[in-house]
Amino acid sequence: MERDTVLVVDDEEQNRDLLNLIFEKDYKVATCCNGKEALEYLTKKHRSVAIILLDLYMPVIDGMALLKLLKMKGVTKYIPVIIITAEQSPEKAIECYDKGAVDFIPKPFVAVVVKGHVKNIIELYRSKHELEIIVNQQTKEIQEKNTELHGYNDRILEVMSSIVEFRNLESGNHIKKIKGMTRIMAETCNKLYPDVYHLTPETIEIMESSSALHDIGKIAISDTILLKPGRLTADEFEVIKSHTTLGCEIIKVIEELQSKNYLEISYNICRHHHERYDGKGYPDNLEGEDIPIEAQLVSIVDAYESLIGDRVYRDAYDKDKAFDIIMTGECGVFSERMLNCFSKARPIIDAFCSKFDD
Amino acid sequence: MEDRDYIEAGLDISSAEERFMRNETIYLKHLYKFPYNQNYERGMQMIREDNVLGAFEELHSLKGIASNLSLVRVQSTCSDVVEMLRKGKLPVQEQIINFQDAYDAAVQFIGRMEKEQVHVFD
Repeated sequence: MERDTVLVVDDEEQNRDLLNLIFEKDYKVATCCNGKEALEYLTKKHRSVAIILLDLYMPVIDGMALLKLLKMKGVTKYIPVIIITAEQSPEKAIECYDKGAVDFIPKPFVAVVVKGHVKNIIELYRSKHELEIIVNQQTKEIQEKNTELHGYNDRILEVMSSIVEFRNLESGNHIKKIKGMTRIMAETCNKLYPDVYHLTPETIEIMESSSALHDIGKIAISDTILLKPGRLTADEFEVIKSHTTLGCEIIKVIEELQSKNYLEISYNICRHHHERYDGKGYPDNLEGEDIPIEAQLVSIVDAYESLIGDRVYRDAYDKDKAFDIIMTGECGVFSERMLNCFSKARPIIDAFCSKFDD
Repeated sequence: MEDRDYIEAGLDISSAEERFMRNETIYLKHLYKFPYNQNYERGMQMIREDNVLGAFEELHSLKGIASNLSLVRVQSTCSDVVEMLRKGKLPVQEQIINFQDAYDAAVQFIGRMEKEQVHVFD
């Protein structure tokens, strides 16, 4: 609906007639005798009102009270209010501006001046409104492009992770499982320990995506070691361990694909997903809560996923056995909180993983 | 009527003509209603009763009406009275007399205009 109406609110018939006379050629003019009538009018027809010309002293609800109400309800953001009054004190003018009026015109006024003020202010508000629509539209488009871009980035990162999977002869669903389990663990952690880890939905989203990169460093490990079916020598194991530090170097190289948050989280996951809570992990022997939460989450998830899957050097454990190995710390120590989360989340994790069973 | 008659009566016809978009009918409709306006009587009665706030509201309205009609002398003398009332004080005798004189003169002149069925806008 077009905003084409000048709403005159004045208890004096003479003022209503006069303002009607001034504006009737250029706009529709509606008149109200007091603030209450004006409120009733605005409730029904606020979408058609281009401007309100408001007197101050009126019965029932006076101009100042109406102005205050309109500002409080946010109406003055899209309908400008001009005070037209016999009042001439600067203090009153300041009070009106403070309460949301855009202009203050004392009587007696000159008709062409009032017309000029009204025309300019209506145009200004129209332009402002049009600009808001354009900005909102553009913001929406940017958000959509951003989402699209994140999607592309996610896919690129997934492709990179898949390369590792294939080289590692792991199941094609390994990355999907790690991502899903990381999300389940992060959400459980957020429910159980909201005040400890403060995981926002955005952070959880990034953790899920970044978890796909946890083994990216394995790209740089030779096939002879990575695919060796037998037991690794101590030296070979050292090479394997270097996939964490190599991985975070790769993350640095692809930093342009990621936001700062994304970069930090994926770096921490790559580097620290083999740390253990007692400091006996690698590569930095981080201990306790020095291990970033994202790495702790992926660490436990990766351990479980590895145990329940076939490897070149061993068959899969059944899920109960794998759960016991995790809980008893046989494959490294996890924090009490992580174990609690894992224990609570296990039914959801197992249900999720069963989707990928052959 | 001559221009000087309007000036002497405190009526600025040219500003009224501009404000009322040269619409003489509507201007005269409101001008001829002015003597019957109740704000003056009520405002003066409230001053006599020392009701400063009530007098302020009545005479503030009258000042606005006189302003629109370009009754400049009524507007100016009424404004002096209103400013005293705004400060919470009763107007002094001289201000009241000036206001009453301006008001009486305007009412008398408007009566004459109506009787003579004048045309005010060229």
